[in-house]
Amino acid sequence: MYTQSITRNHRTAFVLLIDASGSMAEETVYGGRRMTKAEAVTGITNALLFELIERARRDDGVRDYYDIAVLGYSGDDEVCSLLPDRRESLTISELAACKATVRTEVLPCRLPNGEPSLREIPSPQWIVTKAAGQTPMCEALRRARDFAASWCADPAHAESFSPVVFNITDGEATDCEDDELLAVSEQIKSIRTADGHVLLINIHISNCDDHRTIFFPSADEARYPNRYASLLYECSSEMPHVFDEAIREAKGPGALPPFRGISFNASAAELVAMLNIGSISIKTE
Amino acid sequence: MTPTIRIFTQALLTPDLSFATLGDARAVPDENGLPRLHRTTRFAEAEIEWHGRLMHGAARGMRRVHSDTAHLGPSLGRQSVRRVDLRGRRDGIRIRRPRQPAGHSVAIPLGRRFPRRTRRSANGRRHGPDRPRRAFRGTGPLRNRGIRPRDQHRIGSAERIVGPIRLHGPSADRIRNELCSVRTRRRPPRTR
Repeated sequence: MYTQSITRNHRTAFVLLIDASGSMAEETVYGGRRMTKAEAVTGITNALLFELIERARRDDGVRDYYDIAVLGYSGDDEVCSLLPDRRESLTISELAACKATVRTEVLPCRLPNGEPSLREIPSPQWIVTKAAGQTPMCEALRRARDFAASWCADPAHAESFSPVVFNITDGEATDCEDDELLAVSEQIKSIRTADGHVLLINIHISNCDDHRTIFFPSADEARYPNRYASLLYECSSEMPHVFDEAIREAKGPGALPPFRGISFNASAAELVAMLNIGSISIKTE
Repeated sequence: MTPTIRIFTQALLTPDLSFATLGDARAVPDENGLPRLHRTTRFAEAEIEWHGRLMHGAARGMRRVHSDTAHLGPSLGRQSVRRVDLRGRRDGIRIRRPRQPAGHSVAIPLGRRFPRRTRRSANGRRHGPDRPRRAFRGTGPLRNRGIRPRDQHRIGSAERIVGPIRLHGPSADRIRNELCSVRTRRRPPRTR
């Protein structure tokens, strides 16, 4: 289980659900810098896409190791694709071929004399998110469920590494009760290929005073101070044991499985790198 | 911290914050101003320019910095020499993220280039790019394996081709220094 190599014949899929509701206009601290949650989500999403494109790059170009779907949810039950031309999904080479906007990213740093400073660097941006209206997270999860189900039903993907769904949110769903959210999450987690079940990973962005970064928490770490923490914890996949060693290596030897697929104020690209998903060739041990 | 290609890219864009020895290196950019990356079996490489030399921002290239820095020490001045703090590893490089203490760096192991696609000629023989192979023929420890045509740089009136050359063998240092001096030598003015 979860051992299938990701190749052009056995590609996998990444589904990104982006919370673009009004609450994302609130400020938070991400990566050591104060910004709106929407800016943090935009940064996380584009960093993940950059990482995936570069992991698929070879001398002959970007190879089609994965399909990418990006759904934004906001407004009044509005769930739509954020990919160019509103396409439901793109192969990673199609995404790499899209002209990315190059924006300026500001990095906080310290000068040699210890003074804090800021440095501007270019950063490619394929996806722009907004902050408006309600949070139809349940509808977005249903759309992800339908996409993952049809993707796994395709005979070409029957033996592939199962799709990974990243839900990047501040946790405040407005279109459902908690049990509905749990139910649709369970439906997503029950979809599978021959290699394993779909992984649902929640990337939780919060504006609380706790600036810690938490990733793949075990049960005793799940009670970080946020009212949506326990709900998102329950919605997330339990990480398969095959990833235990990689997660313990990243968290430290004291971490005890089982781990959950959720992070708090952490980057999705780092999670992918930790698990070494997306390219069989990257081994950093 | 888990090393991502994105962090590596950030380090290449802010070398003065991320590298000790290579603080004044410059990654060769693409059309978007981002470092031109090449994937290896382990991680990624980028071509970097350092003191007028082009080298690969991977383990092998950065290990050269040790010997080059020692070689260039007197001309760089004491200040630069004092900054030499590259924790060279035989099996990889280390990068350090801004705002993290010097000891908190991550190791990126040495990788190998992916096998190049070889072309087949009409008679079915496999062969790679001919030009560099001819150019390096007979130069002893120089190997052109894994070097792509686009990595070659023409220099001088004789159009000698140099690039991110991998050096092997005991005479590698001598040849490397010779190539570097050729690269940095100015073209003599034309006489009428």
